[in-house]
Amino acid sequence: VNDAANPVSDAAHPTNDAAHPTNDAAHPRHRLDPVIHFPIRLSIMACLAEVAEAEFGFVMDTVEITAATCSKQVTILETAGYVQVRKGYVGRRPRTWLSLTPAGRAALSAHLDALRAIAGG
Amino acid sequence: MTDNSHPSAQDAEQALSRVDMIGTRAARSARRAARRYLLMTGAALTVAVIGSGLIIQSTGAEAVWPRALVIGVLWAVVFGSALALVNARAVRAAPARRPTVVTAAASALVVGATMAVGPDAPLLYPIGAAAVAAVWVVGAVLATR
Repeated sequence: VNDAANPVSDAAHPTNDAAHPTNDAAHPRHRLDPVIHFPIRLSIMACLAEVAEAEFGFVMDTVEITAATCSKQVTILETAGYVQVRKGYVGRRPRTWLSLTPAGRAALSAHLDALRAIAGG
Repeated sequence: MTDNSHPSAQDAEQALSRVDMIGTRAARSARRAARRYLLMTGAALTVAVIGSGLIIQSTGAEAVWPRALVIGVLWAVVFGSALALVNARAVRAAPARRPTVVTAAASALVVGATMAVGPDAPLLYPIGAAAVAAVWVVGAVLATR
């Protein structure tokens, strides 16, 4: 996460305390992806990581969010190149299918590694 | 954890636990989808083998080309229907590669043997079809454990 994505920092996270040593760049939080960092987007990606492709409604129900929220967050993930959106039909009904791109899978994996490093202290 | 904060260890643990919970839920659906895909393939093959046997037994030996055409149409319709049914579901997931390849290979052997020997021994069609179904059921179990 770069500074632009985390403008609020120093008061709560001083750079010279034990948890955040002066060598700030080495801290795992710098490996967090600002796009995936947002909880709903992380949840959407966690859901898609387990499947080859999932219908929009399935993701919405699994993550427990509204269609509008899901649509907005998926658009952000799609813009970042992490999620692929495919429109199709089942019979006459239009369906939207979501899947993770290889870049999305790699970014999620790196983000989870960083979270594990932070959680591990 | 929000967009504009550095996560503490506790935030990170919460995020990981949420990922785990949603991942488990999605993985369960993915396993079901993969199992359905394999079972549907097995069912389609079973119907196709039995149907082919019926067509071969009910037509004369001289009608080779029309018979081949009808059997081809039967297989296309059966597999097209199975594919449409599977693709209409909300989740698509690929089953584990190795057990699926082994299942497909074993199934191909059984189908090949059945279709080769079947014209001389019609009883082999239902037996071969049952064996094909059994192969795919075992494959579905192994590939989605």
